[in-house]
Amino acid sequence: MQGSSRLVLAHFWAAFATFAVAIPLGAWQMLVRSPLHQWIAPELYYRAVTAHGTTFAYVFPTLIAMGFGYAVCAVSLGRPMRGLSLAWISFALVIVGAAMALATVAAGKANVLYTFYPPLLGSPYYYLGILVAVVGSWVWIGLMVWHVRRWKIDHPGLPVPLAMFATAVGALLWGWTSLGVGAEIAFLILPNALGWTPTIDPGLARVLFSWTLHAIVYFWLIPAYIAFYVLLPQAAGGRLYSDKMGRIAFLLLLIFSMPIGLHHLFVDPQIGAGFKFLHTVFTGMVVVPTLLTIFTICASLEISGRLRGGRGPFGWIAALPWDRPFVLASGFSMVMLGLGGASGIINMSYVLNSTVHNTQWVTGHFHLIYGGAVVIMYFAIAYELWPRLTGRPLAAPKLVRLQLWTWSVGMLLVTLPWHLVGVMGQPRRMAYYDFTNPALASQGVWVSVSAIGGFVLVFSAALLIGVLLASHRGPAGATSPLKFSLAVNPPRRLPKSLNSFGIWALLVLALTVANYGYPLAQFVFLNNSAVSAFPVSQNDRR
Amino acid sequence: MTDGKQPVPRDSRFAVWIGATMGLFVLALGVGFIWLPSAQRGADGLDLWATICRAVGLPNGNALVSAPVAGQPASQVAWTTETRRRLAQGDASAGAAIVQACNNCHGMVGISADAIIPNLAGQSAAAIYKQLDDYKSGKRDPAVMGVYVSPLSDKNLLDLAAHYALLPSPTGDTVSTQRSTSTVARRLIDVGAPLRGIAPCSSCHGPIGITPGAPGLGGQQRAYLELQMQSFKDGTRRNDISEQMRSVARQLTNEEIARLAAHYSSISDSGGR
Repeated sequence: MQGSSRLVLAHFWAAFATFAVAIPLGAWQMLVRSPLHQWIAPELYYRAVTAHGTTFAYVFPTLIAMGFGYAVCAVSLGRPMRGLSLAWISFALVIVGAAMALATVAAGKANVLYTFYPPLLGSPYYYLGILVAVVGSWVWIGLMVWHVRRWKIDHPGLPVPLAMFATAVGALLWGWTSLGVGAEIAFLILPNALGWTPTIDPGLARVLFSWTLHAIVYFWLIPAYIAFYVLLPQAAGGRLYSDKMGRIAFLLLLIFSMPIGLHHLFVDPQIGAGFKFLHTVFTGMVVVPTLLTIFTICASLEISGRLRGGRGPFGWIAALPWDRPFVLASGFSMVMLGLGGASGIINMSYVLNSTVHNTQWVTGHFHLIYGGAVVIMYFAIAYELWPRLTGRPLAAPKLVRLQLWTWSVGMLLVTLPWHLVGVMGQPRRMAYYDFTNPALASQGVWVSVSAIGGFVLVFSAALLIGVLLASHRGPAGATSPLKFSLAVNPPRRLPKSLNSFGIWALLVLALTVANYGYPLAQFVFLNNSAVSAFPVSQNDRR
Repeated sequence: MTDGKQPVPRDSRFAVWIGATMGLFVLALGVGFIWLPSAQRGADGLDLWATICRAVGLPNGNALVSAPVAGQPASQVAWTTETRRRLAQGDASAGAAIVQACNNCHGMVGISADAIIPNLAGQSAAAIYKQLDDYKSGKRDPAVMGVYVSPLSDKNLLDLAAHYALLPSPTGDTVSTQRSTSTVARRLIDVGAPLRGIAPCSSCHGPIGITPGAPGLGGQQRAYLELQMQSFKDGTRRNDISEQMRSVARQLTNEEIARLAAHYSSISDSGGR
């Protein structure tokens, strides 16, 4: 892979190593608060939740996005990457930062959950670790943008390959959105955790976090969408329906996933209702690129299905090569994306949100769409890349299919009951529920089902690691080089708007100022909105 | 295709997309900041400016108007930025110079010899300061302590708080007979009793979390702890902000209070220093 194989492999193995630790933690958390287990001290529960959330929010998807980004960069631009040493430094920073944050959590010094909403306050080493990891990933952003620029200078007027175009969009999105959490840690939390400031402003901190909180989800999602556009049509034996539609979808994601984060703060009294409405409208716009993607991908799959002899309005679906891991994973991903997308539209509706706010419904929603629809595509990407990275064919294709099946079934078993008990009123982020209470007793059976689903996921995770390890250590064999799908009409030339980022980045900046300017600026003149921190698991009883 | 010399034509998509985005923004502004707030209940008689202020989050057109508060607060101490700043200015050595009067009852090193008098060593400065101020303002029964705190200035109280916070905390009396009481107590401390609305002790007193001014309880005098919980329960002590302790203590049985006091007095302060 143009000399980048070791780099990509290191990112994927590091990601899956953290995954292998964090998945059993998740299953254990679900078990201990189900009726199948005695209550435990909440301290341990929140420690585990913080480790699970921190891994899956900041470490695992970042490493996958970076690793996949390097693979796309090398393959789609068709020449060796420059600045490999910078890439390794970036990798080291992410690993060091992650290790620092997770060690602090493991020591029980930062039970603040991955959202670490002030005034909750943990050890400064936790926040510093997150900051180091985020700053490490900024090097990757720089490398991706730089490679696109270099390639464009060397190939004036030619379309940037779709895979690389989308990767650069993801990098720019992450760069802009991670500034929110970066500023929150650097200017609000760390000064307080180090004792330099007497109080902390939770409202300001939450607004800054919301800056990151929604678009980070799209940063996680973009590798999966890239895989839909550039790997799936080929894996299914067909062509991409429209290259331009892909570019439009990615640009829309860049523009609209950022100025919408206040929909996470619908119940915050410090945000005016007008801004909540404004962000709701723009949140509605994010549905557009997802619908475009579903349309384009279904059209691409229909091409494959009909080429394989499928007939009639639905016959092409049955004709698709479902035994190929990539196609199977994509099918599952689409189902979960559809369900999760529907619950997302419910979440963004102000009135419906007040019903599901802070219930298990929300946990169900983001596990289904991220843990299900997105992460299963990370698996598919890993299975696709593995033979190219290791020079060894993928071991045990049957086990690969079993892994994808168990992951999907497990994730649905986990999340559908969560949605249900959420509607029944079960709050999220609780270490235990008193199921002897007649009002809660009926939820017990669903919570138990969901806990069992957690262990199906552990089984599936073990299969994944087993297959990847066995393939990596297996006998060398012939492997075909990685290629990206051809479009039905490959673009020879593209208008500037679909082949560049500059003006779109300016539009994102303008929208951010318009949608976040006042909600942030108001904290300058809102008096007495800062409060004492609430230290958790700290020796510092101030 | 590969000569790269062809000029890139002007691209009207930029204007269309940016124009559409701006149009959406203006439409959302009109609906969210003018139409919806003027259609809401209670909007009658609001002019355009007041309507916009309402949507922005300034219902009075002025961020600095505070809501009227009825009744008397449980304490004069509020955990504002200013209180925090003053607490940080407490001078432990100045506190050591005025601590003699305290030593008679609270012990030379802040550990009392009498089970009814609290240990103060290693206690948080915020907790000590709040109690001293409450004695001074009469929010906590000043029958005994009032004589000692009334001549002290606010600066004296801050210095005393800083002094006691620096002393090494008691490790608790680990008599093995008291371990047997721990099952009921540990459950209340770790998970509370949700059906009775009792939050876990450790969510405010540590180690799960520490609310401002909540004292560390480990190693505290057993009889003192029991008496305070009973006083919160029967309402003779009322200086807990928002009735946090009274609403918990009212739900506790006498047996549970005794076990909690026994448990906390037998352990070191796991949540504090």
